Amino acid sequence: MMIPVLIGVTLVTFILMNVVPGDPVIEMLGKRTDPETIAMVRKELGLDAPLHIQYLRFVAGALRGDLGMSYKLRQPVTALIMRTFPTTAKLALSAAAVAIAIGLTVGIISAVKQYSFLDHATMVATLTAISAPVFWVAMIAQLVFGYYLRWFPISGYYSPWHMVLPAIVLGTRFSASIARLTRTTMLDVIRQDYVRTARAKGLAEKIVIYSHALRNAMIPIVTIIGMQISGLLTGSFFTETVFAIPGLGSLAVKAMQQRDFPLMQGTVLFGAVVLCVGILIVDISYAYLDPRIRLE
Amino acid sequence: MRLLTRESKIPAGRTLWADSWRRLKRNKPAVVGLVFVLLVLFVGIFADFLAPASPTDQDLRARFARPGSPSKITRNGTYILGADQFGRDILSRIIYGARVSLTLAIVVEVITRIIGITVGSVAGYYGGWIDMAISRVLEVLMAFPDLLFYIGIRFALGSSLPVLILAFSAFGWAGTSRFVRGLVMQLKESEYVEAARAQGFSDARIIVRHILPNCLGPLIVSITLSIPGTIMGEAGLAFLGLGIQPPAPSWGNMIYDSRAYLRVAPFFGIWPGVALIVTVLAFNLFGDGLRDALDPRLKR
Repeated sequence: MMIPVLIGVTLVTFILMNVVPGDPVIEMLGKRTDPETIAMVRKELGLDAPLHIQYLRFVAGALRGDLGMSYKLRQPVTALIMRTFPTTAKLALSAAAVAIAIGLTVGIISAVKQYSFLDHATMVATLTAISAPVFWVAMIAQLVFGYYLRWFPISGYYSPWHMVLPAIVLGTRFSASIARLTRTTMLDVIRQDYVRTARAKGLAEKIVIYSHALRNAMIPIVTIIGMQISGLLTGSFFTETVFAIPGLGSLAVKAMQQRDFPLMQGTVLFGAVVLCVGILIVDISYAYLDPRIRLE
Repeated sequence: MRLLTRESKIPAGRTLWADSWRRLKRNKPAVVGLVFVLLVLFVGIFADFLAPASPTDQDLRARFARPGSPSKITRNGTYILGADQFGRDILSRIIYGARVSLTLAIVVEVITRIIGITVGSVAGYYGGWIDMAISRVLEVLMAFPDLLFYIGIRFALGSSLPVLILAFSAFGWAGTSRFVRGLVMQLKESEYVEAARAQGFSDARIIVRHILPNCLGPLIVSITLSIPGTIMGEAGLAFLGLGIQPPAPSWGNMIYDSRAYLRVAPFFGIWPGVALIVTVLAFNLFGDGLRDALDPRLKR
């Protein structure tokens, strides 16, 4: 599953990069460079080879962890990615933590108090959160909490404190879908016979909800969390852009604005790998949550 | 005797659609959603009559005019929602932006559904190696980081409405295919399909006349719920400076433009965001209600 996706990703990005109008060498050296130099640099970068050879070289390099040189930053793409990725990972993981914490709590409360005012209010709130674009929320949060109220730093990333507002913004958005799904599956599970049995034998409501019901509701919840990984990655791209956090997203946006093809290609491929690994981790966690599911 | 001969009252035939409509009407949030969806469609279609000004008319002396301040370019003489960095009427740009967002979303929906339904029903109906091959392609497409693809295609082909439509359609059909494939696989085992086959109907006829109409309900729901996705997607691209190019208005590029002036003119960034959220929320409410109405078994 992972391998065809990655082949597809490399192929599509490679084709896209090659149909882009404009010559990368001229972009790199400037329009007034003499033709000999251009030819030389082109040869040096291997851009004179036929396309399929270039593609194979790219794949062979990528397998060894070599994604080529950035045209504009004049540094190895792999090094640039490795320098920025930890920041993005921190943002995405802290956002995921926020999302899961808020999402599960709100979802469970809504389910237990079904049709109460609280339930209706949270359902409206979560649907609104899902309907709001993350970059707009980030922008407004930055204005209100960073600029007007001065509770948080406005932008940049110099201390863990700088990460708090971005993580909350990104996490809240994803907590909404987790909350909605938690509510639905919990409602489903609460009506099962084994929950009734647990209550009948006199277990405390807390134990019934947390160890009997929630545990069985976790599978679909983990699935939705897994489906959110891609959204979380895209979301952190936007959040990074708004809060000027120097992560993978900012790197990709810079690459795109400066038409830095190897850097673009590298970040796209790396993003796809991260995505695949994330999905794999989610698959593995199923087996942990439900021993009936065996890993093949 | 007369009583007996009188025609007994048989309840009029109740179709699935009539039933669903009745259920939908009882769901207040869904009705609110529907009203707003219709309102946005109305605004988009009649933008020329509704907008107080042209979306591109400028008045540089009225840059960032506050909401309600006098205006030389609008028909009613005020900037109802204020003016942007070129003194253009924000309300008019939002109204025309609705047209852009909806056009994009609806065209993308038509294209992806046609491709998706065709491919999905072929895979689901024939199964075997055809299904295997198609499913692998779909998996790759669905796992592809699509934002990155949009960025790439935007660079390769520039940015205009047709390019955006192409970008969103290129991957969008995979989800529908997968969805239709599942439905078709389920339905092709049903007795009425077997009966149709026994009558010697062609595969194409069985798929189009017998199977697909039964997929219609879930499809309509998924269309309603995916339109807001496209609207948000355009806004997202625009926010990275990759959407529809100015001066054409779109909610996304208005938010993008407003970023630089947020401290001077917060309302400039707030209004298009509100328009976007209300529209997306309306589609989501309506879609959720529609799902419950078409399939009451799913009612949570």
